[in-house]
Amino acid sequence: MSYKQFEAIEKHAGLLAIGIAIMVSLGGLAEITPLFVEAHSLKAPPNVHPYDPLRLAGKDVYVREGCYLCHSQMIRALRFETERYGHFSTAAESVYDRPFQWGSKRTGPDLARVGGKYSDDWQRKHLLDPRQVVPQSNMPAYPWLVGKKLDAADIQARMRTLRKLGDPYSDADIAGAPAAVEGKTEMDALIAYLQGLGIKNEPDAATASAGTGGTP
Amino acid sequence: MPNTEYYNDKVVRQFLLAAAVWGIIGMSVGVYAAAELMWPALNFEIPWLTFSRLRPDHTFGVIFAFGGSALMGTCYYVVQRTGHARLAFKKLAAFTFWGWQLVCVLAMTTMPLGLTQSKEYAEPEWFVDILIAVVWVSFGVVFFGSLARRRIKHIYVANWYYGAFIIAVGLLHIVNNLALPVSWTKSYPIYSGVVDAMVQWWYGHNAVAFFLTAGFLGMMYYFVPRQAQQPLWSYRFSIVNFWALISVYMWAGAHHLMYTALPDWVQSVGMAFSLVLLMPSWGSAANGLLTFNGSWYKLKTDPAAKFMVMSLVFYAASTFEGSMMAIKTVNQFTHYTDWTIAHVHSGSLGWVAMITIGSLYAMAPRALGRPEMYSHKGMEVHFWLHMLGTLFYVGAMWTAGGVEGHMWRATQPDGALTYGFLDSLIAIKPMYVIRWLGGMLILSGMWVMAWNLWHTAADARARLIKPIPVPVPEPVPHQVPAPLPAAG
Amino acid sequence: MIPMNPIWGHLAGVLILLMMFSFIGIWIWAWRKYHKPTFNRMARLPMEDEPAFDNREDRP
Repeated sequence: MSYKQFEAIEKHAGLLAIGIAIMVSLGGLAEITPLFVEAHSLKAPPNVHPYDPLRLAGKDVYVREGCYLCHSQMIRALRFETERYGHFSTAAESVYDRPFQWGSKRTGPDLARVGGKYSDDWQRKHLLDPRQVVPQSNMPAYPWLVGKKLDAADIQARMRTLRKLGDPYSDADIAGAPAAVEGKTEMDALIAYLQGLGIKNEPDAATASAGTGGTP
Repeated sequence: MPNTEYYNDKVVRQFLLAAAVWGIIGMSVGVYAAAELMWPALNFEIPWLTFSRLRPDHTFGVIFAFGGSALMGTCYYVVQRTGHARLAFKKLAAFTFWGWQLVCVLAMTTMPLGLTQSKEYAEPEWFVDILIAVVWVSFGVVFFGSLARRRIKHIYVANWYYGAFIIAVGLLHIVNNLALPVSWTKSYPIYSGVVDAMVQWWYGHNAVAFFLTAGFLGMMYYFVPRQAQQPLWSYRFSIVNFWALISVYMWAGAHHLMYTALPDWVQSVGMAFSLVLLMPSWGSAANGLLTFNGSWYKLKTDPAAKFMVMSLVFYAASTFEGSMMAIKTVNQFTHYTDWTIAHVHSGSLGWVAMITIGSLYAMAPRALGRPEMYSHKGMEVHFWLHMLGTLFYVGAMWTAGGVEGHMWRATQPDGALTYGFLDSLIAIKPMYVIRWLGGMLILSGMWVMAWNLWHTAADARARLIKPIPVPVPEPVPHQVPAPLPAAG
Repeated sequence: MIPMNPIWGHLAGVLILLMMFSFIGIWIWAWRKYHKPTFNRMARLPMEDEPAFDNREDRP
């Protein structure tokens, strides 16, 4: 260890800055780089598809309204969680979520597998006025979603952007978007998104036994 | 010896004013959002007044607008005082002020309108993010430029922390916000799923580390010795703590994702480093507290010193709590509950807000050309309002978190769950009222501070202030930089 | 779940060792007697912000 060299750091702003930059980079280097490199080998399971146009619009409404601030979409591998919400979530299930919607706080329940638990009609009533169906709820009402028609051109632009980022949308998928969202409102889209959450992608027994672990 | 150089305190005063204003705005939004959790009808079915749209406004408002303005202002003050030299690049420094205010106004108005990336603590959309990056780089240039022209040979430790804060936050901000725009108002992050989660919490955790810890430790390492009128207890200890803190913090982000789909080994590394982190955290807290040795009597008379001592106590307490919550078995219980909210607020109201308020009360009279703050009583009242409010807030959220953690995992002998989710919400509703009351107390304290600062700034408002001269030492051979000409 | 190449574990291990050695090195460096006068001077630096209360132009 050369003492003079370290003293130089104390006297030169530039060297201090470089020293800081190196030290703060190590942690990210060790934890994020492996994930980033190895995640390319993470393929979506056969039953997880990119969001269809209506659900994509719904997911973006979910993101815009900030639902993730009160609802997680991450069932932890703990007994009392799987008992309440269903099979624990796996990494492969959220490969098409930009940004990820795992959340950090549950003022309301987890939604990772809420799809199909309630009827469309219940969801609509609940979003219009939560206390109409759950009197004790403290969730805000979102009535304005009903009045907003979806814009097909905008959704196509979103699908094209996602394709650039690597999501496998075909030209036919994008061309079919206007028909899929014709006459639909943001409320319809959000309900379609919620009803699709976790419904088709409960991992089967073979993958489930492997657990959440990523140990080699 | 004639003075030829003056400190640039104008930009410091501007940031001081901005911090007071944003503090009130950010906390008002917080109080309103807290009320909505109790009385959900308060959104009046207006989109931008809804809880889920306001919460990012609260966090951005208090962290980046209030905390950011206070950090930039004190940083400019400290780098001049500990370098015995005027701030570099006057115009660029002015740009950082106006640029940062523009960032805050843009972010605070666009987020409730639904223009959000929905990445926690990084919600503003891409066009605001670019502006943040530009202002941040300018801030770094002004800071390191000022360090380069200092007259004190060694760089004082507070500046190390400010430097780490600037470099790390710049790095975090850019890496986490990489996104591909769809239009002016919408973008998608280049990361998805588990990678996005890791990058986001690497950012989220280290925003706490470098924005809310390193930056405010810089404040602490200058204003605590200054207010105690005692030398720093151990300078060499502060050096060791500095390098340990900045290198260890970056590894601990994974503790936000325990038992999730994040690979196990990352979770374990995150937990191990979170425990190690306790050492440098307590090292800094001890260094600050022990600096008060010989000046403990000031606690009776000096509210600024009270704020500082309490902030260090809360810092030690919440870093301990944080390390404990990173233990997987504890995290199992506390995660997703209001305990997390209690933890962040004991850190932010206890540590961050108190060290900021203490430092502002120490700095404001100097920057505003007065012997002391306008009202001593006002500071005293503020201290007790803030202290009580914090205790109410944190106490209520601890209780709520404990209740939720217990009710969510309670099972019958046959393995069935004892409570529905709604039961836990009903059980903690009274706590939401107490939390809101605590918030009200803290907010009223901020109004008292604003009133006090307004009167203290009477000279500044009347433009009667004379700039403070830099104590330029006798010329030393080969001194870099040489004392400047009289331009000031 | 994500399969991991063991190389990443070695990388993390090497980085952690590097951090530990530099930490011990900094500790030894900081405790050398040679620095004592400088550090004592630096520790007093914040107290030097001398008050200049007479800085209103309208005061004599």
